[in-house]
Amino acid sequence: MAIINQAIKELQVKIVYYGPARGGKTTNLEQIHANVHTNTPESMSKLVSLATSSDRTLFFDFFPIETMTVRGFKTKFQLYTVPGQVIYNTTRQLVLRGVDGIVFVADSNHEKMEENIESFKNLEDNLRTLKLNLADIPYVLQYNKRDLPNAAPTEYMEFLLNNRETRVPSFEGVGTRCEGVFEPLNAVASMLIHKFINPASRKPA
Amino acid sequence: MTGFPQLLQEDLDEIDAILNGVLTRSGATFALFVHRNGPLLRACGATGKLDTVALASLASNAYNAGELLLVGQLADRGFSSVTMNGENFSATVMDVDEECLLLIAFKTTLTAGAVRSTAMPAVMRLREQLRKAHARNPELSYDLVDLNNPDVLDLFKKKE
Repeated sequence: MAIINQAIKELQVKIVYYGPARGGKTTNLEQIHANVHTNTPESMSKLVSLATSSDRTLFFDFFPIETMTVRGFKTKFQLYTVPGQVIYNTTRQLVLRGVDGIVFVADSNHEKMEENIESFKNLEDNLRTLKLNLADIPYVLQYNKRDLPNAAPTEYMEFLLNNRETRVPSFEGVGTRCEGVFEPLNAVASMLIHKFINPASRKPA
Repeated sequence: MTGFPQLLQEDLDEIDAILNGVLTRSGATFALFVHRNGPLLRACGATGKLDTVALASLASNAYNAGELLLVGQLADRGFSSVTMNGENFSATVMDVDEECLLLIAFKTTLTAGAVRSTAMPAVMRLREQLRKAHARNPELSYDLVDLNNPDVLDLFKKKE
C-alpha cells in the first residue's frame, strides 16, 4: 500500500523484483543504480544488498530512488528484490509485504522454464498468504538473458507466463548489458501512477 | 483509498515533538518513525550523514523477521520490540501499531531497557496521533488527474 504524505507532499511506493533464483533480479537493480539519470545527487541513495559471501541474495536488495514531482508531490520509489532460492520462501513473504507493483524477472534459459513457472505460482501463493491478489497489483514481465544461445522463444515464454485473461506488458532483456532493464521499470511505475488518477475526473483524450 | 492515513502538518509537528521528547528524556542519539513496509516517515536527532531511508528499510524488515520468528513460529503473543547491540551503538525497534514502528538508536552507555521504558509513553502518544489521522478523513484519495500521461511513460531515464 502506497504511503501518501499530504503534509510534506510525498508519495512512496514499493516495487518488488520477483523471479527464480539466478534469474537476474539483483542485476536489474545494480544496472538501474549504475545507469539511472538523476537531476540531483540527493534523489538517489546507495544500493543496499543483504547477500551471502557468494553474492546470493540472503534477505533482499534495496534501492530507493526519487523521481519527478507530480502536482507538487515528490514520488519516491523503493525497489526491492527477493531471494530466489526455494528455501527462502518465508523471506520472500516478508519482502512482499506492502508491495505496490511487481517486475517478474524470468530466466530465458530453456532449461529454466519449470523454475519460472514454479516461481510465478509461488508469487501468487505468497500474495494470497498476505491476502493480496495478483490481479489487483500492477505487474510486468521481463524475459531476461535473451543473449543465451539456448534462450526459449519469447512466444513460448508468453504462453507459459502471460496466459491470463488480461495479458500484461512483457519485455525482453539482457540485464548484464542494461538492455531491457529500464523499460519494465518504467512500465510498472506508469501503471502504478495511473492507479492514483481518479477515474471520475479523467479528462477525455 | 484505505490504509495508512494521510498525515497533515499538525500530525508531523506532534510526531516531531514526541520523537524529540524521547531523545531528550532518554539521551538517545536519534529516532526514526518508520512504516512496517519500509518507508521512512520521520527522523529526529543526530542522524548526520546517515542514510536514514536505508536504515528505515533495514529496521522494518528486521522487525518483521523477528515478529515472524517469535509470533509466527513460536506462537509468542508478547512480541513488541527488537534490540540490536553493537560495541558503540545499539538500536531498538518498538511496535507502535499495526502499521508503524519506532527505531531508537543510542550509545551503549545507555541500556536498552531504560531506553524502551522511557519510550513507552511516546509509543502510546504516536499510536493516538495515528488514530486521530485515521479518523480525520479515511476516504481521502490521491488524484493525479492533471498529470500529463506521456510524462509517466519515461519516469526513469538511462544516462546518456
